[in-house]
Amino acid sequence: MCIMNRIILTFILALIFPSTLSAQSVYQAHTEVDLVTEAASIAPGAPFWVGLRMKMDPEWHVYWRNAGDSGLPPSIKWKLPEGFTAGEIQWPYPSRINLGPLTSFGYEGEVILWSRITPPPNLPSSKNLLIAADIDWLACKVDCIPGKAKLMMLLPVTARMQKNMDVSALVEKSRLLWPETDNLWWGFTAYDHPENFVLELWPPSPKLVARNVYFYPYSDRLIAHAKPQEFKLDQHGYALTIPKSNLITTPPAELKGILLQDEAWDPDGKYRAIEIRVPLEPSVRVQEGQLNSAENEIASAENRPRSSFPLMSDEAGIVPMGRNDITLLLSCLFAFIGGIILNFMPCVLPVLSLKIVGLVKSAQNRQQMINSGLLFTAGVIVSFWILAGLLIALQAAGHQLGWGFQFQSPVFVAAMAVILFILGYNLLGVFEIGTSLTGVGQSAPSTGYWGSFWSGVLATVVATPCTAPFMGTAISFALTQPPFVAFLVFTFLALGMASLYLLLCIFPGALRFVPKPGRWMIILKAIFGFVLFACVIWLAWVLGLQKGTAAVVVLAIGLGLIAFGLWLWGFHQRGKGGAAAVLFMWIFTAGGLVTAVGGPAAFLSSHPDPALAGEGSRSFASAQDDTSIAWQDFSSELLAQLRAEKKPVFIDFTAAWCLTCQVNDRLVFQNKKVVEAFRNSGIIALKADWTNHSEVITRALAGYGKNSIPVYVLYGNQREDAVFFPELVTVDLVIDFLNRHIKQGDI
Amino acid sequence: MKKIILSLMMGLLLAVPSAQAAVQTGQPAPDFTLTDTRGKTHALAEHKGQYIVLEWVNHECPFVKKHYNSGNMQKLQKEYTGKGVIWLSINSSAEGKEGYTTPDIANALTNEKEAAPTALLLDSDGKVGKVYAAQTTPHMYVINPEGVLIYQGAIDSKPGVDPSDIATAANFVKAALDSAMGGQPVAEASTKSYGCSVKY
Repeated sequence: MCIMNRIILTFILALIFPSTLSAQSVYQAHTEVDLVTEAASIAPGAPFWVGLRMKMDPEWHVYWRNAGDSGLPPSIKWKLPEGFTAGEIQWPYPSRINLGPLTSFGYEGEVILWSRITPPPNLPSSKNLLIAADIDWLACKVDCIPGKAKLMMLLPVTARMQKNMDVSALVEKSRLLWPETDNLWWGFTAYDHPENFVLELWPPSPKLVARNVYFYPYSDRLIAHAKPQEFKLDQHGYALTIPKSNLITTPPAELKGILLQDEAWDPDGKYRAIEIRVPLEPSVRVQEGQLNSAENEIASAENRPRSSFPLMSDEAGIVPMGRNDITLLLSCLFAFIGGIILNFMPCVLPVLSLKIVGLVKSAQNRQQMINSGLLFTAGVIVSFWILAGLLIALQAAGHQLGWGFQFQSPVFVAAMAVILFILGYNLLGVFEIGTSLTGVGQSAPSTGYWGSFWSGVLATVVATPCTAPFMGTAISFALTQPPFVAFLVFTFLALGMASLYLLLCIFPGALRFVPKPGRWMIILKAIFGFVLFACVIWLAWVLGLQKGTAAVVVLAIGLGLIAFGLWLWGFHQRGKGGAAAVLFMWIFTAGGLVTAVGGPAAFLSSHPDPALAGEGSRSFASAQDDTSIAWQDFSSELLAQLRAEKKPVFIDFTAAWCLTCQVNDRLVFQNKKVVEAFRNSGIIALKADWTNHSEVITRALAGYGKNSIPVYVLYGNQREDAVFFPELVTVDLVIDFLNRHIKQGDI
Repeated sequence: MKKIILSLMMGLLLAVPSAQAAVQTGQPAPDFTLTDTRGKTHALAEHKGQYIVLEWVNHECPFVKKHYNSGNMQKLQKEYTGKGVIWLSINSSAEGKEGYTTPDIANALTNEKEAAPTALLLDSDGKVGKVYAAQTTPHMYVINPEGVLIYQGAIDSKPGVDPSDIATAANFVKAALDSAMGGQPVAEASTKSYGCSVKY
C-alpha cells in the first residue's frame, strides 16, 4: 500500500474511529502493542521520543536485547519520512525468567521501549507526517507465540515542538529503568578465570552498599545464563563470580552489560542499574580460601619460583591489588606508631619541645605534672575525634575523601600558612600569645592545665600537614570502616602522639636528660620559629601551584599585614605603645587575616597558570629526557590501554602538599641511578598529581583500596596484579624492585 | 549380544543427568543411548566413523515450523543423509509439555512433514538434552567421525520466525559439514542457538 493510500485510509478510519489516530493498538500473541510519543507536534531538527508500549497478558513475557538461553527480543523496523533518523532502543533493565534448567532475560506485565527520532533540520512541509514501524516480537508463557504488527501515527509539523506532558512524564519515569551509563561512583575490576569471571566492586564511600548484585551481559555468548552468580562481601571487599558460557571461542576483552542490585548505586538513590564496560584481566589462578597467605597467591601459578613476602605494604612487601589486608589490631598498632613518629615531624616538634621545656622550667610537683600530661593527651584525643567526626560526616555526605584531602582546598592551605606564620612569629619573641597557649612560663597550675589541653589541640592542628608513614595506611583503612572503627584508630593515633609527652610527665626522671633552661632556649625557640617559616614557604608554594602566583602574592600581603599588626601588639605588651597601638594592631591583624585567607578564597573560581601547575610537582631542575624520568599524566584510560598492551607501568600518586611524597620524589625518583633503572627497564611512568581535587585520581586510589598518599603502584610483565611499594622508599629499594620484578620475571 | 550389553551399560553410565553440564566444541561428544520412534535403540558410539547431526525438534514451536513449513530442514536432512551423515532428530519435551508426542504421533508428524532424519529419538526425561545443554528448538550439533563435536548452536545466522530469512541466512550446519567433509576447519564452530526453549 503506497503512502497516499495509507494516509487516505487512516483519515477515513480517523473519521469513523476518532481515537484510531493516536491510540491505534494491536493485540496479538497475548500482547497489546501500540506507539506512544511525547510529541504532540514535531519541529524541524527537534528530536522526540517514541515508545513501543507492550502490555503482556499475565504470565506472558517478552525478551530483553539479550534473551538469555532462549527467546527473541522485539525488533522495530522504522518506516520514516525522508531525512528522519531513529536511534537505538533504550532497553530498561530486565528480570530473570526461569523455565526449568533454562534462564532467559525479559519483561513481564508492561514495558515501553523508547527510541529517539530526529527530524531533519529542513522539514519541507507542514502537513501531517506518517511515522510507522513494523514490529516483530516473541511472547512466551511456557510455549511461545510470535507476534507481528504494523503500527503508525500521524504527527503535525509546527515551527516549535509541542510536547504532551503526560507522555513526557512517562519518559522520565522510564529513564529510571534505563541503566545509568555515566557511572561516577563505583570502581570495578574484572578477572578472567578458567571457569568464571570474577568482578570486584569498589564503593566510593562506606555509605554506599551493594546487595544482591546480578550481571546481565549484552552478548548472549558470554555467560552461562542458567547458573547462579555468587555475590559476596568479605574482608577483601565485594566480589561477584559469574560462570562463563561454553560458547566462548576467543577470550573476551571486557565484561559489557548491566549490573543490577537491590540498593542504589548512586548517593542520590536513583539508579539500581548501571551499564558497565570492564576490561578483563587474565588472572593468575587464585586458590579461594588461601587468600590470606601472600605466599600461596604468588606461587599459585605452576613453575613459578616460590618467594615469601610479608603481607603489609609498609614492610617492603607485595600486596595483591585492591586488597586491604590490615586487620583492626594492626591498624591500631600502625596508628600508634604513626602518632609517635608525628612528634618528630617539623610541624609538631616545635610545639612539643616547648611544652617539654616549659615542663622543665615550671616548678610543678609530680601530681601536677601528671595531670598536665593527661590533659595534653586529652586535648590531642579530642582534637583527633573532632577530625575523625568531620571526615566521617563529609564521607557520609558523599564526598570522595582521603587523608590530606583538606589540602586540596586553597583556603585551607592559606589558613594553615597563617597559623604557622603566627606561631613562628611568636617563637621569635616578637609578641606573646599569652602563656596559656604554649604553656611556657606558666604562672599558676590552673592556667597550666587549660594550657596543656590547648597545647594538645594545637599540636594536632599543626600535625595535619605532616602525615607520617604508617599513619596513611591506618587512616585509609579506618575511613573505609564503620564509624566506631574509625574513631578507635584515630584514638590510637592520638595516644601515640601524646604518649611521648605523657611519659615525660609521668617519669620526670627522664627530664634530667633535658638541659636546664637558659639562653639556649631562646635560640632554640628562634630556630623552630624559622623552621615554621620554612613550612609557610612550602605552603605558599602549594598555594601557588593551586591558584597561581597572584594568590601567593595576596597571601604574602596578608601575612605582611598580620606581621605588622602583631608587632604592634608586642610593642604594646612591652608597655611601649598606648591605646593607639592596640587599635592599629587590631586593624592590621584583622585586615591581614582577611587578606591572607580571603584572597585565596576569592581565587577559588580561577584556574592556575597551567605552566606553573605542571612544573610544580615535577622537579625544579629542567626536565631533560636523560636526567629525569619521563612522566606522563595519569588517566584510567591510558592505564587500561597500556595494560591491554601488556606494558609494564609504574604509577606515582603524589601531591604538592604531601611531605612524604615530595621527599620521595626529590630523593629517590630524581636520583640518577633510579632514573637510569627506569630507562633501562622500559617502564612507562605515570604521575597522578592529587594537588588539586581530581575525581579520576580519587577513584583510582579507591580502586586500589587506598585513600591517602603516597601510593606507588607497579605493574610488571608477568603478574597481572599490581605490586605496591611502601611509603618510605629508598633508591636501593626501588632499583631492587625494578630488577627483581621486571627483569627476573617475578612480576 | 555383548555389544548390546556394553552399549546399554555405557548408556546407563553416561546418560546420567548433569544439571550443570555443557559441552565444548572441540571436545569428544558425550555418548548416550535413546530409543527411537520405531522402538530401535540408538547409541551415539555405534555411529562412530560417520558424521552425526543432532537436531533438537518440537513441531509446535514457531521457529521449528519456520524451517519445516518452508521445507528447509527436510532439504538438509535429505541432502546429508544421502552423503552418509547420520541425522538424529531428538525430542526432549517432557510429558504434558508442548511438543511431547507418543511414538505413533511422532511418526505421523514425520510422514506429514516429509522429514527424512535417520531416526527420531525420544528423550522425554530430558537427560540427553541436559547433557548437551540443549536450550532451544531447533538446536544443532555436528559430530565428526572421530566422535569430536565440531559444531554447536543455531541452524543459521538469522534468528526469527520469518521463513523469508532462510534464503539470505548463512546455514551453519551446512557450512560445518561441507568444511569438515572437505578437510577444512569449521569457521563458525560455536554460535548462540535461537528458538523456543526446550520444554524439559
